[in-house]
Amino acid sequence: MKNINSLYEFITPNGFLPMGYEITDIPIIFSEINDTFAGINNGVLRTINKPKFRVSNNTPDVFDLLSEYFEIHRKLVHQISDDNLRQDHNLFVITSTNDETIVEYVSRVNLDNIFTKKSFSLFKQYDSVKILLIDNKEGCIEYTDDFFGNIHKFTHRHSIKSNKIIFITNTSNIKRIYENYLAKYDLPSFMVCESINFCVEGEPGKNIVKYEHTTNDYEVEKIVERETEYSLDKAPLTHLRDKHFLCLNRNSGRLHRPKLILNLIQYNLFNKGLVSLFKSDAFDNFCEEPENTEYKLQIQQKYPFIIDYEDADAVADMHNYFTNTDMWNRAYFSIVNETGVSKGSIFITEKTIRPMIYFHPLIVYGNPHTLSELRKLGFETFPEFFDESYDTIEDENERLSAIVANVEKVCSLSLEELHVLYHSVYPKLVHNKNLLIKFATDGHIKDKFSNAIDL
Amino acid sequence: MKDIFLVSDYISPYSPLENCLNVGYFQSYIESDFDRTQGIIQKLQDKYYDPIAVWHGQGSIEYAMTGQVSTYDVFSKKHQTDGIYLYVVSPFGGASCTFGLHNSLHMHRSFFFFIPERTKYLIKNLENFYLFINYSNEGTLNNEFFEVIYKDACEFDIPFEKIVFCISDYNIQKSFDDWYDVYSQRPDNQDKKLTKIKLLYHVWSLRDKAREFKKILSNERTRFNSFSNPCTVVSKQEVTDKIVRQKKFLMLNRRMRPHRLYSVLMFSHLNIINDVFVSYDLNNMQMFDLEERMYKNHHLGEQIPFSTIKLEYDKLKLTKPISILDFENLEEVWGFNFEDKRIYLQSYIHITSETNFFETGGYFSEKTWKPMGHLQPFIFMGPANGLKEIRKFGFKTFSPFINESYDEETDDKLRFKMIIDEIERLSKLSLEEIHSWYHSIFEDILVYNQELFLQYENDVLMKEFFTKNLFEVLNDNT
Repeated sequence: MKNINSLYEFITPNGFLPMGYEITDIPIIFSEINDTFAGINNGVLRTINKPKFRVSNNTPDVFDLLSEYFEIHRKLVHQISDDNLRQDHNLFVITSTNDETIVEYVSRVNLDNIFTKKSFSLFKQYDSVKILLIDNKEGCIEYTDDFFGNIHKFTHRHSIKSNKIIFITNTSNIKRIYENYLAKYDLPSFMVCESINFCVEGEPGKNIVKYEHTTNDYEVEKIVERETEYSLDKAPLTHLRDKHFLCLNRNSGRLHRPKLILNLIQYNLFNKGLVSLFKSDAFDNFCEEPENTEYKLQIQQKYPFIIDYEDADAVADMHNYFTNTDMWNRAYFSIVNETGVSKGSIFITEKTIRPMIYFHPLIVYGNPHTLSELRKLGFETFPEFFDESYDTIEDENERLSAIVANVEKVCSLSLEELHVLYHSVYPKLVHNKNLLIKFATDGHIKDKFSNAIDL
Repeated sequence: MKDIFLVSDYISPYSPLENCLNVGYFQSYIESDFDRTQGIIQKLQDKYYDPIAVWHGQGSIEYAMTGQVSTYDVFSKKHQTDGIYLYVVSPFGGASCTFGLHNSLHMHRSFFFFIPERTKYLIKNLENFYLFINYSNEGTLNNEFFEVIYKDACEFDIPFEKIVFCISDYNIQKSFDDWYDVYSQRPDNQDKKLTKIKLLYHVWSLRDKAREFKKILSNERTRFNSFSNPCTVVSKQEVTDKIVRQKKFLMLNRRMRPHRLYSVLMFSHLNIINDVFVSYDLNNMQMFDLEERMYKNHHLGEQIPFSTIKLEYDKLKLTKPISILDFENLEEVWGFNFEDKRIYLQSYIHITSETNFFETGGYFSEKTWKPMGHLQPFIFMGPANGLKEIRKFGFKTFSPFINESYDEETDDKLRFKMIIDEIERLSKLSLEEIHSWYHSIFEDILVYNQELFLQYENDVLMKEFFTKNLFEVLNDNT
C-alpha cells in the first residue's frame, strides 16, 4: 500500500494552512493568523474577495474522515522529496466549509490562482500529485454548469489528465449528474466523480460501534456528552406505542418543512404524531408575507414545537445521529423531512439515517429517487407501509401530496393494527441498522475512496 | 551540549520565511512565487525605497543550529526537546526599519508588532524558547534599539530575560550596562520591574573570511554578490627571506572613516607615508569629510592642531588625491572576493583600520582577519581591547616587538596617539630590521595564525564557540 500524503503549501504558527485560499489573499490570511491565538480551524479567512467566511472547526478535516481507513501524512511542498513524488500518492485536498460548498467554491474561484507556481508545477509534472475536492458537508446542491465548466476549462487549459482532479461528494447521484453534463456539451471525461455519503456510509455505523463499546453493549442506559443526554436502546416490541409517527424538524428555515407540517395540520394528522419544529428568522419572515397567513396562524403563532431537546444546536454540533430513545419508542414510523427536496441531486443525511438507528420504518420528503438510492446501497424500504411510488415524482408539491396521502392512510390504522404491521417489518429494521454497522466496519468507504484516487 | 533549533513562523513551498515580516511586503513575495531566487528583495527595495526590515539569512549563526522547526510544531509539541528554541529576527542592514525608527511601510512599528500571538505565547511560557535578535552581522550599536526593545517588550508583555540580543560587538555588555543604568533610573521606568535582556557577542566574519581564504588557497573561484574576481592569498611556501620587501606597512582604506583619514594625514605629516602601502580616495570620501567640528569632537587637536591636519589634507588632495594599490575602483571593492597577495608580499606590517574606532562597537569585520590569512603581523586600529579579544580565539599577537599597550587604552584619542606613535617608532627601523623580525616570528606566529585562521572555516569549531557563549548567556541569571 502506497503512502498517502496530504500536501500543504504553507505551515503557519496556527498549523497547516488548508488548501483552497487564493494566493492573492495570503497577506490578509497571514495577518489574520498573526492576530489569532486559536487554531487555524477556528477562524482563518479563506477568501476576502467574496462574502467572508471562516474555515470552521465544525468542518471535519479530511483526516477525521479518512484517517481511520488510511495512514495519511501531512507534508509541506517544501519538504516533499523525489521519493515521495515517485512512490506515494500526493493530494492537494480542498474541503467544503460550513459556509461554502465545493460547488460554490469552484464556481467562484479561478483554479489557476490557488497554487504557487511550484505546487502547480508538481501537480502538472507528477502523476502522483492530484487535486482532491471533498464536499462532505452539503450534497443537496445545484450542480451548475460553472462548477463543471471551470474544472473543464482548467484541465483543458493546462492539458491535465482526467484522473488528476477527483471530486468526492455526499451527493448520491453525482456520477449521473456528471455524465449528463458531459453529454450536454459532448465532452470526454476530464475529472473523477465519486459519491461517498459520509452521513450514511461512515459516521452512523462508526458511532453505533463506539456507543456499544462505551456502554458495554447497552448495559449503561444513557450517555451524557456536553451536558446532553442520549441513549440507544434496543427497540421494545411488546408495549403499545401512543403515537403513529415521529417527525423531527430542527431548522424551520428550510421552508419545505413547515409546508409538510402545515399539510399534517390541515389533514388532521398533526396530533397523530410527535412533531418538532424550531424557530427561525427565515420562517418568521416568510410568515409575514400576505399569502402565507395560514402558516402564521397554524404554525408560527404556536411554535416552537419541542419534543426532546430545547437546544437543537447542541445535538447537531455533537454528532447529529443520537438522541434520547424515548420519543422513538412512542411512535411506529418516521416522516423524514430532509435537507432538500429539489430534483437533480440526491443528498441523504442523518435525518434519514436516524430512524434506521432507532428501528423506524420511514417515509422521506427529500430529493426524488432517495428511496431508490437507499435501495442501491442495500437498505430495505417499506412498501408494506407506504405506496413508494412517491419517490419517483419529480415535482416536489406533487410528491408532498403523495407523501401526505400515504401518511393519512397509515394514520387511519389503529395503533393496534400499526403495532402488528410494525412487527411484520422488524427484520428489515434490524437489517438496516446492521447495514450501517457493516459500512463502518467492512472498509466500504476505504474501497470507494481507493477507487476514486486510483490507489 | 544541548541542541539549538531555529524556529520559523511560516514555511513556504520554497523555504522558511523571515520571522516578523510585515505582511504588507507579501505582494512582492506573491509576484515572485515566494521564491527568493526571483529577486524578491530587489523588488521590495525598488517598490518601497526602504531597506528590508527583516532578513531570511541566518548565515552568521546557522551553522550552530541542529535544525529548523516551525512555530506550530513547537506549539503543538510535535517537536519537543530539552534543546534551545531560538525565534530569530534578523535586522541585517535595515535595523532602523526593524526597530520601527524609520518611516517605512512599518509605520514606525517595530518587529514586535509582527510577532504572531502563538509565538508570543511560546516566548512567554516555554522555558527554552527565546526571542533572538540576530544583529550579529553588525557591530555598531544604536541605543535607540534598546529603547524600542524595552518599550515594546513591556507593551507585549514579553519577559526581558527571554530576549537575546546578539551583536558582533565585543564591548556590548559595557555599552548596554551604561545605557541600562541611565534608562532604568528614569522616573517613568522606576515602577516597572525591569530586568536585563541577555546579550550575546558573536563574530560572523571569522568563519566567512576563513572559508574564503581556504577556497582561494585551494584554487577555487569565490563569489560575493555579483563579483567573481580572480583572488590570490599568500601561502607559506612563497614567503622567502631572500627578498626584502618594499614597504614597512600596509593599510587598506575604502571608505574614509575618521580614523582612517586622520591616519593617512598623520602619516603625511610625519613624513612616513612613503613607508606605507596605503589605499585611499579623497575624492570619494563617503560617510565622512574632514571637518573641524568633528576633529574637535575626537579630541585630536591636543596632538596636532586642526590647521596642520587641514594643511596636510589640502596638500594631499592636490598632490595625490587617490592612492590605488590592488583594485582600481575603490567604490567597487568589497570585503570579500577582493584579495590580491601581491601587496602583502611587498610589505611587512598590516595596519588594520577596522570599521569602528571612535565608535563604541567592538566590531571585527573581515578586515581583522586579512593579515592573518596573508601571513602578516598587524597593528589593530579599532576600539580598545581588540587584541585581547583576538587572542581569545587563540591567535598570537606581536608584543614585545610591537608595543601593544595601546590595546588597553580606552580613551580613543590616547589610543589613537599611541598607535600613531608606535607606527612612527617602527617606521624608524630599517627595512632590514623589520625583515629580520618578520622572519623570526614567521613559523611560530604568522604561520601558526594562518593555520588557525583557516581552521575556523570549519562549522564545528564555530558552532562550539557560539553554543558555549549562548549557553553561558542563557544560564546567566544575574
